[in-house]
Amino acid sequence: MKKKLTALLLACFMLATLAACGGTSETESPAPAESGSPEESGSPAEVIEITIPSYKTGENVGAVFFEPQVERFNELYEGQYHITLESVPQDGFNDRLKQLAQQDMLPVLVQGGDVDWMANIAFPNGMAYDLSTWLDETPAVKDLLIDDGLAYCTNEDGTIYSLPLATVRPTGFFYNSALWNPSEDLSALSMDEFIELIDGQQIAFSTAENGWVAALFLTALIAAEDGGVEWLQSGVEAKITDFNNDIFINAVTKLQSLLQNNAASNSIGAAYADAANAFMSNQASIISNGPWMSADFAETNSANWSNGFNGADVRASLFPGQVGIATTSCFGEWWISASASEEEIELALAFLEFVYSPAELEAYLLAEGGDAPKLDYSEEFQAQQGETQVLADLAADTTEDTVFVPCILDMIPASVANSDFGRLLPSLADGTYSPAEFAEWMTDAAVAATAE
Amino acid sequence: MKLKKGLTRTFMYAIEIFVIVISAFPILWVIMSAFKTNGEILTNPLALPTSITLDTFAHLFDTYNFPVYFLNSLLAAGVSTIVSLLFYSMGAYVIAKFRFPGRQLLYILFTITLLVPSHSKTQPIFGLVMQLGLYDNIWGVTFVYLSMGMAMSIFILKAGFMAVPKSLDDAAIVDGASFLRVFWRINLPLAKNSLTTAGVLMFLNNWNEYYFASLLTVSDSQRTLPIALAFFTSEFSYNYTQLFSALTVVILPGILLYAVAQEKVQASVATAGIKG
Amino acid sequence: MNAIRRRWALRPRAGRLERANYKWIYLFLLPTVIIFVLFYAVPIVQVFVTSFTRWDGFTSPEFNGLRNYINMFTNSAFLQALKNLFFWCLVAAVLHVGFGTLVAFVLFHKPRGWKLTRAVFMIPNVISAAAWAMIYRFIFNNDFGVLNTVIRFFDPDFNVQWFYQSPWAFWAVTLTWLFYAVIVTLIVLGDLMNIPMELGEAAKLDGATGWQFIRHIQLPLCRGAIGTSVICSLTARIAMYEQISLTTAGGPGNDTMSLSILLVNGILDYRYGYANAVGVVMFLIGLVILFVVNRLFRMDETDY
Repeated sequence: MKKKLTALLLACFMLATLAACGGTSETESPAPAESGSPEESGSPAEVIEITIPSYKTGENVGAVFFEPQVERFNELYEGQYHITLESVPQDGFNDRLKQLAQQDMLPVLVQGGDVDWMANIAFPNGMAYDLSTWLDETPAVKDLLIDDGLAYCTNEDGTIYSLPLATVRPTGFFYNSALWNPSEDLSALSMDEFIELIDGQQIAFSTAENGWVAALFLTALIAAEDGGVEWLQSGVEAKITDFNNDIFINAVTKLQSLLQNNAASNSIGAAYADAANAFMSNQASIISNGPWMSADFAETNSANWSNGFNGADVRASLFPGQVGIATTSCFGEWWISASASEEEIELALAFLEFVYSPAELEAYLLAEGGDAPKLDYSEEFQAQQGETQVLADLAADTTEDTVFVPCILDMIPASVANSDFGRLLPSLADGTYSPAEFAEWMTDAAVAATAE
Repeated sequence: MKLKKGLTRTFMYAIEIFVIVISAFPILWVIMSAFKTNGEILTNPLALPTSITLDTFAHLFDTYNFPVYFLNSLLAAGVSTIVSLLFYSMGAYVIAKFRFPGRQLLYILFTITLLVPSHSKTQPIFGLVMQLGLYDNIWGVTFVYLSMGMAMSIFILKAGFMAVPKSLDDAAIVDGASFLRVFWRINLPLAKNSLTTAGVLMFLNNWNEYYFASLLTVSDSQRTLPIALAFFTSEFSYNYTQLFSALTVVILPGILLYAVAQEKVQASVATAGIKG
Repeated sequence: MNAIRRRWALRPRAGRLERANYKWIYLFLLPTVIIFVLFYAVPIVQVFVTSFTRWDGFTSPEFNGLRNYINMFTNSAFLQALKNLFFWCLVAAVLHVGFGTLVAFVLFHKPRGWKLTRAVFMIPNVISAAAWAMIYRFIFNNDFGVLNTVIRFFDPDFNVQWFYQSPWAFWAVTLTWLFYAVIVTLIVLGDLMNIPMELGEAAKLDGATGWQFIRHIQLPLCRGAIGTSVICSLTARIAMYEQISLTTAGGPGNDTMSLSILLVNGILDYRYGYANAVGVVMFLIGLVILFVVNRLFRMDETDY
C-alpha cells in the first residue's frame, strides 16, 4: 500500500513539475504576440502602440542617434502613435527575426535582417508589406531615394518591400595629421602615387575576425585596377567565386607588400579592436574605416586614447581615384511585416515618413556621417557639418565624380566573408602564401561554399 | 624509502601548484586589468594597476540591472538542474541496473543528444516554447534547460549507479524493500558523488548558456547574465579596460556562487565517499 | 560474447527481477523519454533526412542524393578538419584525460591544500567557453599578452602570433583546453572514493607497493570513470566551437579547421542540407567513439 502511495506521489510530482512550467504560461507570461498587437485592453485614448525589438539601444553605437529619434517621433505624434523599443543584443538579432518569421510573429517594423534571408526567403514568401503604392503617393520620400537602391529594391512586378536608402555613407580612410600631414588632395591622386606617398607610414590593419580594415583597403586597391570596379560590382548580381584573375592578384600583391612593409606592428592576427587601438595610440597613422568612427575621435571619447593621440588631429579622405566604398544597390534599413494590422501599418508608414523627412535625415548625417545625394541641404546643416572635421573632409570629397564601389566582403559568399577571408589573411601577411596562392585558397573556399 | 616518499610529496605539490596557477592566473589577470587604463594594459601588461577606479563598474551597474539578471540566471539554472537531475538519475538508474527490451537503443539515443547541433534544435524548440506561451519568459528558458545536460548526466549517473554494489540491492530486496526504496534509500545516497558531479556540470552549463536565453527572451526583466555580456562586448571591444571590466562583472558572480556553494558540495562528496 | 555470458552468469536472478519491475522501469524512463521526444527526436530525424537534400532552411527541401556528402569529402577543409579532430581526440584521450586522472590520484591522497586545488581547478569551468576563449586571446596576444611578455624577459626580440602562425596555432588552440580537466578529475575522484577501504588494507597486507596498488586495483576499478571521461572529453572535441571560432576561426590556412566551423559556415550560406551532412558525420564519429570506448573500458560490467 505504502509502495503504491509513494509511486503515486512521485508520479504526481513529475507531472506537476512538467505542468508547472506549462501552467505559468497561461497566468503569468505576457501574451507572446505583444510585440505586434495593439493594446487589447481597449484604452479610451485611441493611441496606436507598437513594440519593436532593436539592437540600436543601450550601449550600442547606433543608440546614440536612434533612441532619441524614436522619442522625437513619439513626441510629435503624442496621443496618436507610440513606439516602444525593446533592446536585444545585436549578436543573434537576425536569428531571432528568422525564428519569429517562422511563427508568423514578426514585429510590425522590421529593422534590417540578413540580406540573403530577406532576398531569398522573407520577401518571396510574402512576409513583407508592399511599399510601392505608398511611395507613389508620398513623393516627399520617394524623391529622396537613391536611384541604385530604388532599382535594387524594386521587384520585377513593381513591388517594393524594403524601403530603399536616401543616404549613402562612403567609406574612406582616416589619417593622423600629427604624424603625417600631406599637402596633396589625397583622393585626387592615383593609387600608385598614393602608395609612393605613404612610404614609411604605418597603416593599421585588422587581419583577424573578418579582416574588416584590410578588406576595405583591398577593395580600394581592386577598384584602382583596370576593370576592378566592374569586377566588384559583378558581385551584386551573383556572388564572386573566382579570384584567379589579374585584377584580384595584382591588388592582393600590393596589399601583401603593404602588410609586410607598412603595417602597424600588431597587424598579424589583429582584430578590429587591435587595429583601432593601434591608430588611437599613435602606433599607426592611417586606418581605413567608415565615417561612424568619427565618434571615437570626439573629445568625449578621450579615455580610449593613449600615447599622446589627439582625436582633433585626425583627418579623413576618400580613397585615391575618388573611390568611396559604399553599397548603394542594397536593401534599406526598414521594412514592414505583412501580417501587421491596418492601424499598425498606418503607424509604421508615419514612422518611415518621419525618418525620411529632411530634418531627420540631416540630423542623422550630422550624427553618423554620410551624404544624402538627392536632398537640398539647409544652410544650418551645412554650417554644422563643417564643425566635425572628418565629416567635413569626407563631405568635401564626395562629389558627382565619386566612384562608389561595394566592399569586397559583401560581394563574396557569406561564409567566405565572415570566416575564410580573415582566416587566410594572416598567412598572406606573413608571406606563407603568395598572392596567387591566396587567390586560389579564396577560390577554393568560395567554390566549396556555393557547391550545389 | 624516505627519499622516495619525499619525491612523491614534491611531485604532488608540484602538480597542485601547476593546477592552481593555470586555473587562477588568467582570471586574476583579467580582474587586475579591469582596473588599469588602456595605455597601461598595452604598455605593461603584467604590472599592477596604479590606481583603483570603479568608474567603469559604476557605469555598468547604473546601466544594467545586474541583480535581476543574477536572480534569473540562478532561477533558470537552479530549477532546471534540480528537476532534470531527478529525471536523469531515474533514467540512468534503470539503464545501469536492469536489462529490458530497448535498453541499448534508449541508451544510445539519450547519449547521442550530445551531438545534435544547436542550430537544428532551434526551430523545434522555438516553436515549442511559443506554443506553451513561454516566449520572453524566464520559465521558458528554464524549461528548455531541462533538456540540456541529458547525455552528459546519463553517462555520469549510469557509471555512478553501476558502481553501487549489486549485493546491497539484493540484500535490501530480500529484506522486502520496494523498487522505489532501493532507488531512493540505497542507490541515490551511494551515488552522491556522481549526482554532485552531474549536477554541478549541468548547473554550470545552464548558468553560462547564451544562445537559447538570448533567442527566447526580449525584456530586460527576463534576461540572464550571459546576455548582459553580449550587450557590451561588441560595444567596448576597442577599449580593453571596459572589456576586462565587463568580463570581470560576468565571471565573478559565477565564481562567488561557486565559492559559497563549494563547501556544501564538497562536504556532500566527502560524506558520500565513506562507505563499504 | 564471453563478456555477455559472464554478465548473465553473475546475475542468475536478473530476468525474474526485471520482469517483476517492468512498469517501474518504464515509469522511471518516462521523464527522460518525454524530454527526448520534445527536444531531440525531431531535430535528429531532420538532420539525417535533410542531409540528403538541398535545403535553405525555409522552403521545402529538394532531394539531391549524396551530393552534400560528395561535396564534403572533396573539400580539403573538411578533410583537414577530420585530421585535426583525430589528433585532438588523441591528445584529449591521452594527455587531457591522463592529466585529469593524475590530478585525481594526487588529490585522493589528500596532500596539504588539496581542497583548495580542487576548488580552484573548477574555476575555468565556471566561466563560459566564450569568455574563456576571449581571455586566451589576450593571453596569447603578441603585443601585450602575458605569455610573450614573460618570454621577452629572456629574449627581448621574441615575436610569435600564437593563434595566427603555423604550426603554433594548432597547439595554441589545444592549450586552451588541454589542462583544464577538472571534469575528468571529479569523475575519477568520485570512483576512487567509492573503492571499498578493505581492498586497500587487504592489498597492504599482501605487501603491494603503492604503484602496484594503483596499477592493479585502483586503475582497473576506475576504468568506468575513465571511460566516461574519455567519452565526455572526446565528444567535447567534436562539438568544440567557441574555442576555435573566437580565436583562430580555423586558420591559419586550415590548420585549426573543425567540423563545427564548417557546419556553421554552411548555415551562413543557407546550405542547411550541407550543414546537416556535416552534422551527420559528427554524429557518426560520436557513435563510433561511444561504441569503441564502451568496449575498450568494458563499461557495461559492474565490479562489485
